[in-house]
This record gives sequence, C-alpha cells and structure tokens, in this order.
Amino acid sequence: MARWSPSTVILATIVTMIATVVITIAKEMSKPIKDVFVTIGGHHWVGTGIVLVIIFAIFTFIPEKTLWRKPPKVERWTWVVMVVSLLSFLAIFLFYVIHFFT
Amino acid sequence: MVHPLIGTHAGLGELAILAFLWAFVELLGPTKSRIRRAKIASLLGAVFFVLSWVTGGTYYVTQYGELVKPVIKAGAEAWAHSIVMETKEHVFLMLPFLGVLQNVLLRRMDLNDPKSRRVILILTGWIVLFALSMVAMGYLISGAYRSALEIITTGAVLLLPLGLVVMLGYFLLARGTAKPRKNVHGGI
Repeated sequence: MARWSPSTVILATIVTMIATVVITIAKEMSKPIKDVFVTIGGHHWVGTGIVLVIIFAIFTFIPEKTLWRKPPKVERWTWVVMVVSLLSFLAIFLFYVIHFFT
Repeated sequence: MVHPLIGTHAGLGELAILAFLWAFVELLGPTKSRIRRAKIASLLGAVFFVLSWVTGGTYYVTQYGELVKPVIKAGAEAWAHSIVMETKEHVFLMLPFLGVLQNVLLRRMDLNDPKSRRVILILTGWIVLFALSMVAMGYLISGAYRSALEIITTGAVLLLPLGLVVMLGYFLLARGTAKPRKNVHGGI
C-alpha cells in the first residue's frame, strides 16, 4: 500500500460520505437527477455506488503534495471522519423521516 | 423460503463485524504478532464488507424492489421501507470506505505512538458499531415484511371460513330455488 497516503484517503472518505448525503437527497428531490444515476448503473442505487467509488478513487490517488505542503494531522482528521460519518447517518435518517411524514 | 442472497448478505456483513471486532481486540494490547493479526483481520473485514455490498445489492435490485417492498408498503409498518430501508441502503455505502480507511491507517501509522494507536482503536470500534446499526435496521425491515405477510395470512385464514359459509349458503339457496315445481297441469 505504498501509494495510499493516509491524508488523501481521509479526505477521500470525508468527500465520499458528504457526496453520499448530497446524492441521496438530490435523487429523492429531483426525478431527472435520479434518472442520471439510473443511466449510469441501470438502477439508481447501483449508479450511486459507481459514482461514490469513482469519487473515492479520484481523491485517494490525488498526489498528496498537490493538496497541501504540510500533510494534516492524521489523528485529528480521523476524528473528523467519525464525526462526519455520524452526521451523514443522521442527515440521511432525518431526511427520510421528514420525507415520510410530509 | 427466504432468498439465499439475503442470508449471504447478512452472513458476510456479520463476518465483517467479527473481523473488525477481532482487530479491535488485537489492538487493545498491540505487540508485533498482534498487530500482524489485526492487519489480517482488518483486511478480511474490508473484503467481507465489499462482498456483502455486492450480494446485498444484487438482492436489492433483483428481488427486494419487486417482491418485498410492495408487501411492506402495503402493511401496517410502511415506515420500515420508507425510513429504515431507505436509510440503510444509503448509509451502508459508507461502510466499505471506512473499512478501507481503517486498513490504510493501520498500515501507515506509527502504532508505537499512543495517540495514533488510540484513534485507530476507536475507528475500528466505530466501524463495528456502525455495522451493527445495519444489523438492527435489517431486523426491523425483515420484521415488517413478516408482519405484513402475517396480516395477509391472517386475513386469508379469517376469510377462508367466511368464504366457505358464503359459498355453502349460496349453494343451498341455489338448490332451494332450483327445486322442481309442479306445473299447472299437475305433472312434473
């Protein structure tokens, strides 16, 4: 795993999780957006998965030096990953709760 | 019978949880051999997450949408699909990426540093909890499906005797009305 830099994988994970929330809500709110993902994967959920894998791969393999001169503190940013994952979970859950009752 | 893909998906997900739990335990008191085993367990966990994603996705796309979703939505617990399943299918997508991140950090960070070790340990535990929430949501969805099927079965069981009574009544009534009458000439 010589090419896998912790800081870029952390960034890739954060961006992928935020993208998951944005795509999930956008698909529910707009039929044309949902159709784009259907076109990509044959089913909107498959299309979402494909797009997320591409986003993760792009951010993972960005050369670290192009992003920042001094790599960020991995320990601190790993905490950020966990907080973002929790907030993403809650955002998706609350969106569907509101969507169900309205 | 329950589709084999649903069991495969759940089984692989549970193996992934066990693998990360194993890694978590190994990381509690890391020695050279324990770290080596934690790396193996974490790699297995990430692979199981990906396999669970593929099998669950295949089931979701080919079976769930057509056969299970309409039953749950017609039942008393429609929220199990509209809230729980919708949340699960999207939140699950984050797990394989978290698994990959944990593997990268485990291999690239200095585990002699207590700060690094602590954060990897917590991330590993976090992945276990995150994945366990998928199990809980899967339980709610399966429960709602069974409950909806029970309503259908109960309905059928209750309607069956009623249907038989109606049919019997109709038959007797039909027999009564079809009773041959004597015609005006006295013959049959």
